[in-house]
Amino acid sequence: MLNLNIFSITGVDSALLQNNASVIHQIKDAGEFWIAIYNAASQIEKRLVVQVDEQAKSFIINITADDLPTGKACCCTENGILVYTLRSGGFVHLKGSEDGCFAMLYKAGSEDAIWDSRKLDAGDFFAFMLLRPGKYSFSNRISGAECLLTVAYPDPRQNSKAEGKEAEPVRLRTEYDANWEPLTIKPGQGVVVEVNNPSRLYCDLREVDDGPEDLIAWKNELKRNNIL
Amino acid sequence: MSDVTFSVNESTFKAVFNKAYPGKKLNFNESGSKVLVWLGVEGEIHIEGAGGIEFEDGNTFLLKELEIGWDKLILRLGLDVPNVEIGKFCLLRMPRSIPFWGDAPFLGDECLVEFPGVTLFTGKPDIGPFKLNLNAIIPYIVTEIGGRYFIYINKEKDSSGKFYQMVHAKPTAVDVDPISISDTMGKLPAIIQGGIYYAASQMIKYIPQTWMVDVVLSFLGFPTLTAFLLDLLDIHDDVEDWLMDVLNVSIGIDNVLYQLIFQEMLESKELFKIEDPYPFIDAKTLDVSDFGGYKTTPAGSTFELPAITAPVTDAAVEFAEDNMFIRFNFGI
Repeated sequence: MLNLNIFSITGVDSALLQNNASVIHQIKDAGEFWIAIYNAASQIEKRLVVQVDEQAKSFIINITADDLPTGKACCCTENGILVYTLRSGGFVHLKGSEDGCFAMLYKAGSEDAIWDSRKLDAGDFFAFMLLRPGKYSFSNRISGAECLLTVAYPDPRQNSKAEGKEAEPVRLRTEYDANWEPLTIKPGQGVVVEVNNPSRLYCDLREVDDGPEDLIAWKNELKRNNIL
Repeated sequence: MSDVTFSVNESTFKAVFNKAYPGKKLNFNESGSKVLVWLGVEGEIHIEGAGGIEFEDGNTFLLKELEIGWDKLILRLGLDVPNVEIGKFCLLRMPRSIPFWGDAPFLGDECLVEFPGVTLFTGKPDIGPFKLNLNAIIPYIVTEIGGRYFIYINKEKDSSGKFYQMVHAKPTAVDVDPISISDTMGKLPAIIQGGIYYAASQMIKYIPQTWMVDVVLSFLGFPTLTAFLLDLLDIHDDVEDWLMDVLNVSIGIDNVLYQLIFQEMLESKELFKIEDPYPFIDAKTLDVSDFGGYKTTPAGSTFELPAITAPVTDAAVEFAEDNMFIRFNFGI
């Protein structure tokens, strides 16, 4: 069965991470932190503890709302919450989920979030990919920066097995008051944004592309010869 | 020297053999596999007879060409579409010049965080099984089968309860060569194209919109689903070679035929039989008026003259000087 979930996503919102997007946040200081992850659809909050110090062996924590245990299902601590350790300067990688998710980071004992994935800031990275060919508006809803992002239609007549290797991701930076140049990517090609200022990165489909006009005639001709 | 010796030459033996062995249709149903491909074959053959028989000295003979006829050949194919992962790329690399983690197991520029990507297909995207009806190319299948047989004679009871000395030929070895196909009429490509078209239409059912098909094809690296399936099945220009590889290597059809024919030959009936006791004269009922000069006349008007028979002893069969000899004595 085709993974229709990923094909049905026709946009990106860094404040609500779906399966086609993820965020990286660096924790520089040592100490104990809490991460709360929210599943947008069910509003279920999942928490985990991150103990950051100079001696920890892990440099990255990969988390997602989909596969985290909830409540007492986990036996890692007395109250059933997962505990991770992370080297100072290590990264938390929040992967998107089917329903969409976001996360907040707290210093232990504080109720004030020190980081909210819905508002990315300097040092964060945001990555995504799109499959639906068409023209998108890619913008930073906080700074107002915007550009045209085109997902090119993959003309099957150009396909060859030798060229099946995926394209390298496009890398961008957010800057104050700066727009990006128009951008064209292939379906499934990654876009990595290095965040340098407060950002909510948003990408929405403005115009679908269903392929060049002569493609249908080519396909019909093949079909007449029992080729699909 | 035996009381009785029968001699049968090679051509007569072959004629008898060919009358005895053509029999029922032999069915088989076998499966095999290649990477991502499940294969099954249904077939039906019948033994037509021996093309050449050569006696060896002793009790064995060589069957040089066992001729079989193909009645059915259907190939079934099932495909496991590979679960292609897309959108995997390095999100964050270890900085080349900032060794801020002295003991970190990362080299400069090594990928620290990978974008997870997604899988194109979920669950089991199996296609088929779909059938390739190969009956149209049956005339172009060449099957070379030979074997070595031994003969023996044995006293056995037939279905009516009478005893006979029966001469059997049983296989000691059957050699089945890999089959070859010479599709002189070029029917095979159309058969395969029809099957692949069906498989592609099954696959397209999972992909609801045309643009999705084209995006999937861009990841697979093929212009059409047909081309993708042909590649998955490892079918290239020479479809005869492909089919022979499937039948001979993946299915092992030579072994299937060997077992089928060997078993059929083991179960086959006798080639020759000699009644035991051997009847010289059948029993008769005679009228007493046919007799004359007997001092003691029968009590009734008829007289039962018993059959004159002799038990067969020391029965033996062997080949010598290009003949089969059946020898036995009468136990009288």
